[in-house]
Amino acid sequence: MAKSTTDDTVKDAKTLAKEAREWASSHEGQRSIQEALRETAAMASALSEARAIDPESLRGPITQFKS
Amino acid sequence: MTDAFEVVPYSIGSLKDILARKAGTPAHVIDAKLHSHYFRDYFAELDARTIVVENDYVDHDFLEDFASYYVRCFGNYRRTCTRLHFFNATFGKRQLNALLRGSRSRGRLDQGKLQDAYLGFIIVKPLPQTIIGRTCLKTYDDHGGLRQFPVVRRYDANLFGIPLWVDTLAFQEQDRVVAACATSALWTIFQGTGMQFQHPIPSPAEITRVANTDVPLETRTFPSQGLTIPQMAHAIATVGLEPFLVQVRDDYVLKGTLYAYLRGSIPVLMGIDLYGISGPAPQFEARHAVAVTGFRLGPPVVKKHQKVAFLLKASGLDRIYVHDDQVGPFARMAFDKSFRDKAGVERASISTSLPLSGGGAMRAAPDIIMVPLYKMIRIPFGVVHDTVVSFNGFIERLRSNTRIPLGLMQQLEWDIYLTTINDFKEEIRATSELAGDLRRDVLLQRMPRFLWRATATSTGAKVLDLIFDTTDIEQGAFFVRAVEYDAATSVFLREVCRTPGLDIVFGTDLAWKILEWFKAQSA
Repeated sequence: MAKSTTDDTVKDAKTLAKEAREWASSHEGQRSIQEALRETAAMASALSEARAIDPESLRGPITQFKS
Repeated sequence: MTDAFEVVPYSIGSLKDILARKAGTPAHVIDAKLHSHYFRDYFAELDARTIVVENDYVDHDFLEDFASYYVRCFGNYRRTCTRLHFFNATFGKRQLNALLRGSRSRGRLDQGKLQDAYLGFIIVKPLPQTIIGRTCLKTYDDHGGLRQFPVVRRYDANLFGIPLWVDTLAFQEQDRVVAACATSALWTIFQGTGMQFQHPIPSPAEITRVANTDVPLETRTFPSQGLTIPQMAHAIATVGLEPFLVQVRDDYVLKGTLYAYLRGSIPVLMGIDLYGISGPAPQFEARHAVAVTGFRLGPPVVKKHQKVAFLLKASGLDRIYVHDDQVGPFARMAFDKSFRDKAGVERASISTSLPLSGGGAMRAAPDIIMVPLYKMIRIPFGVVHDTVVSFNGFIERLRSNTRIPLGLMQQLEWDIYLTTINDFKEEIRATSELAGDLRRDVLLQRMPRFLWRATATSTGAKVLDLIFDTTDIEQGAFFVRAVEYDAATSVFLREVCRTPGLDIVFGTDLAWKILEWFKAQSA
């Protein structure tokens, strides 16, 4: 769950960004981001496999279907 | 001598009677056609009230098919058709005659009133059974924006000098001679792409002929026994477009891909496996091809893959509208069930209006789609989608581990689709969500003709647009820019993306191109 903030002015956004940068540059933060990238890459790989053409689909005509 | 025209009050009975008379087809054959049942409901929804029957009409597409095949038949097939015009206003032959005579009486029918009431036309072909020719009918009402028909164009119909038009996409039934379902679906597809990408629109006979020229079946071209996927791809290539194939047995892949290209006004050909489900196990019946021409969106569903959760707007697609040559134009197909196919794989299935012999209805399992693309639309949807998923994953990690601005507090919903520079900039100019120098900068920025647009919203409000260049290569700078609707989010992302070492963490992940852009912007 996201940690909340009560004020999203530009000044506060910079404060939030500074905190986020400290986390992202920390060992824990970098490990966490790398883990996220690995997980999204795995999802992308699964979707890529799902999109790949099955040669069976290319065989035979899509023929006339009589209703 | 036949009258040039007739005016008939609309009813499904009068329509069937006209179809039977004009085609020379027995009434029981007309009755049995699925199209008759479909038109009954369709015209009820459009509130059709009058039919103007235009006799001895020369239809270009049928003339091509006639010259290709029917002219050499020993039997005497007519070369002219009948065109039926439909109106949601009530009038009679006397009033139309008065208009043609130039009468100026009060309350007279005029071109404006006819156009306001115009619902479109159906060409009736003089064939034994497959009589529904080029059909251009107004679409269903958009139901408050829920239904979308992005692939429509204007069709002109001149009725004895009276100009009429309808915005739709043409449909026709396969004649099982020069065209099977695949050819009919391609013909509809080309109706859309022909206008958008400026290429000639071949007739059904021409489509079947060219499809068989370099990629022939083992049997004769006519009567058509259908087309293979490679033949359909070849037909698309001959009009100067590039066929892009995607396997769509996965529900998420199907919905995301269909939506992305349909939103870009590109009709999509879909190959489906038809199953009968009257027995204990689904029974494979046939393969079929339809042209997907519209959709309806429900609430999106979070896509989960292990620990990744991604909210894609297109996942809420709950209905598509297809030109099914066996049923009619804009036929509804609902995503409402799943089942196990002949290989035992769980697949999404969609409802159809196609009957099963012996009772019940067929269900369709989408198998493959073919998208006819202009050569400059190179980056496929999948690449953009996966890049956005990766970027969203980074945002989600920030959300879970640090304090973040309001615009990023809720899970972002992503709307990813193809668009053009003109459509994108017109929308930017029309919106009140962007103002000042930022709006001006976006409008002035040079961009390619075709773009991928990924819009992030949070509780309905736009947070970001990510704009990608479709003409580039994945390894290139194919990310164009972000449009930042939320000031706090903009400042936050620009600062965070300056974190030292982040480029090394991301490595070759394509999402880095997005972060790199934020990093390069002024703080």
